[in-house]
Amino acid sequence: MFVAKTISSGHNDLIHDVSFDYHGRRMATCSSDQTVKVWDVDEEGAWQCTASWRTHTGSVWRVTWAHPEFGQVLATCSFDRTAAVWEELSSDATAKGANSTNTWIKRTSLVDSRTSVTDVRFAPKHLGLQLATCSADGIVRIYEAVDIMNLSNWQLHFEFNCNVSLSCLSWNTSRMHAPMIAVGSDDPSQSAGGKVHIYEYSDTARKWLKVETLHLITEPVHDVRFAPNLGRSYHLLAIAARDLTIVSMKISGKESGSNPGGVSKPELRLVGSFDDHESVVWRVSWNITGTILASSGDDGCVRLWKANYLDNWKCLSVLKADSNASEAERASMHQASISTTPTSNSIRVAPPPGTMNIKRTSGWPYMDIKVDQGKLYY
Amino acid sequence: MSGVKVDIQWSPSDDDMFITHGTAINLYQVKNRDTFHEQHDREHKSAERSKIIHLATHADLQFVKSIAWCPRPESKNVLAVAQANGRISIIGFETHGNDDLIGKEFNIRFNRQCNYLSWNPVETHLLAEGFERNRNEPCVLIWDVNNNANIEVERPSRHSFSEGPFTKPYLELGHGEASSSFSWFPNDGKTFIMGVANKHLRVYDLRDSSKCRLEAHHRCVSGICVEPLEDSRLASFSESQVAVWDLRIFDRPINTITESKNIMKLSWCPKKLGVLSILTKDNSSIKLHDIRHSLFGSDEIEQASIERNIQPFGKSQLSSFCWHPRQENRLITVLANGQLRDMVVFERIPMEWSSSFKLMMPLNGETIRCLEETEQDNDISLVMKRRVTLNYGLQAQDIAANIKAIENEPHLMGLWRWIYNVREVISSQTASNSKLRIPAATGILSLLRFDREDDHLVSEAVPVHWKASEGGKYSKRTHYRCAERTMALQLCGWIPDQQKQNFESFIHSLVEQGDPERASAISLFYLHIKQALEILSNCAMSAEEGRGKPSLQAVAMALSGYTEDKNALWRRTCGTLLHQLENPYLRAVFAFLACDEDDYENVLNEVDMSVEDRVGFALNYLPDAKLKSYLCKLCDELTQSGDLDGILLTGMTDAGINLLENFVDRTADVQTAAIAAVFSTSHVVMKDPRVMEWIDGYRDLLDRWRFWHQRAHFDIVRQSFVQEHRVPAQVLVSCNFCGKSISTSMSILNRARNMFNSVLTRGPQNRPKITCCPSCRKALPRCAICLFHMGTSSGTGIESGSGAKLTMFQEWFTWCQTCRHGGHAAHITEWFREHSECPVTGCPCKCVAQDAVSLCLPETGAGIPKA
Repeated sequence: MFVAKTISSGHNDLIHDVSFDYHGRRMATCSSDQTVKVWDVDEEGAWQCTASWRTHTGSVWRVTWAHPEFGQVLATCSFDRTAAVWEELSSDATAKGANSTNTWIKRTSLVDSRTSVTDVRFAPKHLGLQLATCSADGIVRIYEAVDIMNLSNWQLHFEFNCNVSLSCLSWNTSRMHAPMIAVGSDDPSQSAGGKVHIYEYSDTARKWLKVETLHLITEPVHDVRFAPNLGRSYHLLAIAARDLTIVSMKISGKESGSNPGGVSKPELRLVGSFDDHESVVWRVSWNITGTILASSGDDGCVRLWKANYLDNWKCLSVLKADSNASEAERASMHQASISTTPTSNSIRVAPPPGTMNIKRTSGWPYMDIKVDQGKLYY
Repeated sequence: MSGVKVDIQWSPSDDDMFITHGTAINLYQVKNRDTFHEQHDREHKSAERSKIIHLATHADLQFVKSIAWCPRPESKNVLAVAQANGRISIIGFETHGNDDLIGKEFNIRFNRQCNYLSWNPVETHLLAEGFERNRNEPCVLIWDVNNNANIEVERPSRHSFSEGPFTKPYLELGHGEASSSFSWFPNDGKTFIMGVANKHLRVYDLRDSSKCRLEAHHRCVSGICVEPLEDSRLASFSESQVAVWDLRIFDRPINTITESKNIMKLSWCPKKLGVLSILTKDNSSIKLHDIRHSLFGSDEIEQASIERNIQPFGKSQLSSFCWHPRQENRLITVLANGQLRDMVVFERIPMEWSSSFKLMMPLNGETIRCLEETEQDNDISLVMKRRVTLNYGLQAQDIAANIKAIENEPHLMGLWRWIYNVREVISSQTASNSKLRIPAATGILSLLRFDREDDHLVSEAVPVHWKASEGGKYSKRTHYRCAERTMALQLCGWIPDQQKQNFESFIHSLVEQGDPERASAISLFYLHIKQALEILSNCAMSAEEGRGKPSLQAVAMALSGYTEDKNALWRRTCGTLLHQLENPYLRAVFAFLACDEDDYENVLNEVDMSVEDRVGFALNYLPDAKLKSYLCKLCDELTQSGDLDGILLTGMTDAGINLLENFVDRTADVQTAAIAAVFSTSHVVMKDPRVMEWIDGYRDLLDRWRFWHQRAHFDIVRQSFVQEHRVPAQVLVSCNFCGKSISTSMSILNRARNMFNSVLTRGPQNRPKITCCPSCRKALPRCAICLFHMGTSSGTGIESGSGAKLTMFQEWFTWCQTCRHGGHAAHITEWFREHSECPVTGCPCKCVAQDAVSLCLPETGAGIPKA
């Protein structure tokens, strides 16, 4: 079950993004009212706004936290064609009362883009303090803090052009292989081909190379997210476009030298594609283990998805935006029971009768490899 | 499409009334569905909360061209209807309504195509009508509906095609032109804007209608609409182009939007600032543009808008739409066939999971909803966190303590039984000094050397003669034995019957654990049929006590009838009975007795029996070659499915890591994988990149949950098994004068530690005083609070009166990294409980705020194992 509570945000306009810090104890929201608010959770678990300031001269699209190892650092991106890095100056932490506001100062403003900066993401911690931005003119930029003690000095390390208007990007968090980024495009023309591109940093070529385009998705993409990898041998990528799509990606072993530039082509499989959100899926978010996916769509619902034992993703519950706070409607999902006998591998749990409109595709990884007829998409 | 365009309008006064008009005018009402909460209909049409009820139809008027709803709150459901010939009739739906407007008609001098009808929202007696061009006639007429006096003006003798008496309008404008669109300014009843002659936009004031106040030349003159929330902003379109205007800079549009098809309807969202909705021809979706995102640069104006599509009927082409005038985001849409949908256009919801299982969803600008996953959800993330609080994997010595955390998760038990058994075997080896030694983390396959090609297991076949009953004749079964097999059996948790005493107690303990079927099966596998029967019937006997299984008596009966005779009735009955038994061990028992010698397929394929017992059976009964193929096949199956029971076979080797990888892929249980790798105590395993990834991933998880203590314990456990590296001393305190570490002369760590130990044992009176640097004998700095030299007892608890116990930590050095003032830890902590600034006079340093991470406290409430 889910317990719901409601917080009054105090934003004057639409909230475009919400982001949690590493520990889940701080939250940042950004809005069309050009402000960012930082929230801290108090002893009772209630969220208190501890800072609110005007960040940009346009709608703020996204806000994201850096790993706390680098300090309390936020990055924002905006319609005003800039991205900015903010650091907290906690000088007035005396009174822990409601009135204490911490000061966030702008460390740098990244002004390279000529169009709206649509997404900004810090790289996973093991890559150091790096920041990727993407913009409506199709350029991905990767910045690095030259000195992590001095966050006002960011160098544009890489810049590559995807030639389509970009709306979102996501880092692959795995430490196992070369840095990888997925970008999504909200270009409306369907003839332009695949809307999700995957880039990988090649050590030999010393630049970012495109390793894959997902031709499967031709509708405008609003969000892409890699699931936290957590030691799995494959990577899950959730894509919010017209449908919610989950793609599994397996990077085949060591870099094979046969490929130009030394990047290996990942093997992609469609894990699931769902049109439950009637029209457009807007955002996706994975939980900490990458086992529950939340998606929100234009039908005003947030849906939670979970894979069962056979890796069929199913809707776990539907949360309606306009319902009462206490009402969290739960879809009649047959909890895929993990059979408790130690030899359950031979018992194929029959998928429960589909209660939702699910286009079921054969899953991967599968219990029974021989049966797995998962399609390959290139 | 039927060719008739169906248009739709909300009532200006009632929240739940609307009309559609195509060939006829229909009045509808939206009713809330009360029973919604009870019926969880998944079909989306019925899932909507409201129901549209058809109230009335008005079909008397032909060729309805345009309709304006009277905005007066007192005149309910009164409509002005303009027919194609330009005649306006005022009709009412209200049966009891006797509004004096109803029935009025307004005729024009020359019949012309009417283009629009617009009721003044403020001065509600004014009604504007626009026409196509006709000679020199005015193209815009504004009527005063209250003024009935001017009805009968003289009819012109010629060129009149109008039927009724022609009415004198309140105002006439635009002689000899055509007017295509018109809009009153919603908050000002005196001014209006109209599009004329396909090239002008003109703003007029009723008070001075002789000349226009503002004029713009542009071809976008259709569908003028003024934004209700922002009076100076308006939009108009022409064919496929939309122009957005600002009255303050009226010479050119502030923004233009080009659509791919001709535009049918353009409207502002009445309750949302800056959102323009556009419906184009033959389109299934309404496009929303948020036009506020225009950047006004120094000279160039960057045009931009944020788009969004609404598709209420899937692929069906919409005929029209209308925003609810007062309720935010409520939209009604209609298809050409009259199908309606009343919907709410939801704000897009961004959301994010936190690492502490909270899902934040800002619903709109004002509210954020927070959902929290609770314990009942069996997601692995919560399960892992719960296990951490139960100290899963943090007990290096006492294996059983770890199992407590996973009592309800039998799929993990196989792994832990293996870990336990391996440990037992290794410790018994050290005790007995036997020749055959197994390395840590061995699985049965490598123990039996099945993983190597060049080496073979040689075991001895031992015929065992037994008889089922006293009177029966002896029969023979072959056991295979060798030292490796015996050891492998121990890994399975079995105790071979060569050690009579131990075997007895083993079987007995199984019965005690409440698993008599397994006990009897194992004892039967060792051909102690008598014992097996005893176990079963004993268990059946204890049925009276409420915990026995009376059905076992019948099973025992059946068993005792065993006969060697292959064609006997007993055997055939057995075959049928086999499938009715629910307990896998009982099935195995019958399968064992019924099968021929050397053909144990039925027992070996009894998949509900635990892997240990199947392997244990195979170890006893299969000859080397068969055993190898059976175990390898089983191992493959378990590896493919990522079944942790397979670790028994693979051990923590490469194969075992493959198995664990499949397990992680399937369950995302990185915790068990990391812990299993650590408990394997194998250097090779820990070097595997996958294992390192699991361990790092798990430690990262613990850090995210702020289980720092548990992470430290995990690291200690890891260190205790595999000595990877020594963490060097991190910080030392050096003397201000001579620069030497103040602990050097005490031969660093050991001496210091001994000293502390002795301090603890000796008590405070014997504590040595170190108030000076041991090398240069200069005094150590003073505590900023008590002003004693560091090294003296700090005497805590006297002032505070808290009676706090004097511990070593309280006397510890502590200082601010920034201002480098400090003192006794206890004093400083106490000081910063109430202050934020440094206790030293004149030092403005806000020491306590320097380290924001320090505000983040570890997750509490979890018991931490004692070291």
